[in-house]
Amino acid sequence: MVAYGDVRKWQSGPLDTAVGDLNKRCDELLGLSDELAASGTPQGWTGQAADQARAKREDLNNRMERLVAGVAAVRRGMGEAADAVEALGHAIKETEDIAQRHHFVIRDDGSIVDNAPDTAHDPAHIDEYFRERQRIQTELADRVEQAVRRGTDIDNDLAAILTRAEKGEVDDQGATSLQAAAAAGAKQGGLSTLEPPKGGSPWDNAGWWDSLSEAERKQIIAQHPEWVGNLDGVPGAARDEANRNRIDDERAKLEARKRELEADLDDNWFGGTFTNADAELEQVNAKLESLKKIEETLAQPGERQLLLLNMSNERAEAAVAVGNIDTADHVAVFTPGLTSTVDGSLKGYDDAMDNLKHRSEEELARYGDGSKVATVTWIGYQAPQLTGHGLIFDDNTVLDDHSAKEGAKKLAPFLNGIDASRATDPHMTALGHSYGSTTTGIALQQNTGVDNAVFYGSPGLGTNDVDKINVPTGNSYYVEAKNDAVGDFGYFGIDPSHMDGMNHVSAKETTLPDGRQLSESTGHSAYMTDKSTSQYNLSVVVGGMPERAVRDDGKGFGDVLSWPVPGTY
Amino acid sequence: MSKDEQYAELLKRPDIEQIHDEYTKMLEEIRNELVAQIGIAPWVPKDEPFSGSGCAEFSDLSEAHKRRYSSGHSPGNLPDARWADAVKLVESIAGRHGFKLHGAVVDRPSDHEVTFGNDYGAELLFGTAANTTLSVSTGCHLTKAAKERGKPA
Repeated sequence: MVAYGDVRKWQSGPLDTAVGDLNKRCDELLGLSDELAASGTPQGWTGQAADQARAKREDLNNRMERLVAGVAAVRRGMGEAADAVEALGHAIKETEDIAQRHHFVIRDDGSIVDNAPDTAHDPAHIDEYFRERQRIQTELADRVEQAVRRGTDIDNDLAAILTRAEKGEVDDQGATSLQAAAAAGAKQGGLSTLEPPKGGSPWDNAGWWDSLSEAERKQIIAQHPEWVGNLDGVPGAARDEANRNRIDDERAKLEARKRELEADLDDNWFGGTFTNADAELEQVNAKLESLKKIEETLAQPGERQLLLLNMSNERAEAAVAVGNIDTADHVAVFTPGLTSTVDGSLKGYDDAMDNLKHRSEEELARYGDGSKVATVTWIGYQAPQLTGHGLIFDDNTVLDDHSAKEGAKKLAPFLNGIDASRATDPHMTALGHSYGSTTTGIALQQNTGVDNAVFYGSPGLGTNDVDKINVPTGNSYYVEAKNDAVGDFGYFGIDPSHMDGMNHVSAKETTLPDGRQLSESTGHSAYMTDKSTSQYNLSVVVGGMPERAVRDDGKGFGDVLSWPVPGTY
Repeated sequence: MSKDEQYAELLKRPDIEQIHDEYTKMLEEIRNELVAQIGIAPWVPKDEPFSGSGCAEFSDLSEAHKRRYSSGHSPGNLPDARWADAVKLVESIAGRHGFKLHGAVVDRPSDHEVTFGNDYGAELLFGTAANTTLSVSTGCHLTKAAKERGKPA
């Protein structure tokens, strides 16, 4: 078993040197090829001595071919191990940098020691201080675990190749020349591809990805895109490339299933009356339409990243970023709510996200910051639907928080994955609308590293206490528009309009101190309308300028009715 | 609006490729003239000068598009004393492309922004604070192919 103290000392240089030596030896052996051929028995020489000479030469040939095959296998193994050790070195350096930056020490046995200097902390922010320490400690432990796993894998693979070569077990595969033997041996000298950790956290996944060489990453994206497309902790660019590689396969699978279902229905006198074939066919068609909408969105001008593609549930799930989540200074993740689907909603939300990015960046450019923004539409869960069946019989009914809880289990690692995949964390904002605010509220009760939360038109955040929303104190915002009845439900926790400690920002018509006119958004679905006060408020929080937000408690008649009775929550 | 009504509405407008050609030329002319006549610093373009999306307002039409153009920024503040001249210059060029001055968005010392609009729902923003910026968000427009087809897809 390899220890962390071992792998942190590993260097690729000696392996590269060994590869150079092996190259020389291999070339020398291959150079003997002509000499071996010339050493054949002279033509016309017959008799017992000639037969023995031929047999001896044949034996020498075979031994040489096995030797060359073995050297070629070791040469390739050493070369790949050198690349792998170099990649592992980068991963370890990143881990050590994170530890140093945050005053942690990693011991040789892999344990993590908090070495932060004793300093006074603002009591108002003490919880978030310890939350952040815990998050970094978990990240370091997971990264160390993956470095050791990777180191062990390299060690085992190379040891196996060396052992086989030493025992002469590298097969020349019937080669009749030294060149052919070398090619056969090289085929047996490759290191295995290490799969992602099973059930890994975003930091496990990031640690695994960082430990791979560039060639291994490219191979995985091309040959196993399903490993990384939805893997939280892998950089957005890699997820995007992998998921785009998956689209044709997913479509082919859906079309095949569609043909099967249509054939079943055609063959059945009663159609879908006594089977679920017609209902499933409807779902398959909606998923095919979802793929079309995803491709149309990805084809839009400007950078898009397909960060999630999941066809395994009743409805398609996807996440599309406008911009680049790997390099943006500010990243916003928007979770929509009731009735949201990829086929029906992605296009409109992508329009809103592109607009939000554009507005935030122009504002940042004018005021001299010039930083970059990426905005993500995350439809990564089975949002409730407004069908009769969906309301009453579906586990994911809007009348229950089941769907929000299940969604939060996937949203929290998605958010952590953005931080985990980068050397430096972006300024990150979670945006949650309607039932999506419930999903976001529950997700943020975990330790996600999100810096700001903006909820709008919320039926409740899955808590009555704003302190349960784990963003830095004072960084939760709520917008409620006039005539938004959903915002007054208080169904999944009290109406956020009445939450102590929540920042209430406006959806009303506004004239800003600088003279800017912004329009009112009314009802439940207009919060992201262009040039509205609510959209402006989203853009300034996303862009890291919350001091410019327009404040307002947003309380109307509905909020009088939704006022919680003290002592009952 | 029904799908046919949405299509009929957009059929009256230039296609998105025509809009792209027209607005990129207009923005380039404005940028050049601001440097030449007002004396602002040369523009620093963005890596990605424009982006696009579908149209939430015409949700039934997959071939309806919007674009958002950024000019990057011209470093530094455009002095208050030259602001009115700069706005007139922008207005004279943008006006030839159907944009009308809708008014000041921001108007205070060293911090100004004006907005222009056209009949297609486009918005041109021109402003200055720490830097000078110029951008256009288009309204919704069909693709050339969708217009030539003469009916919704």
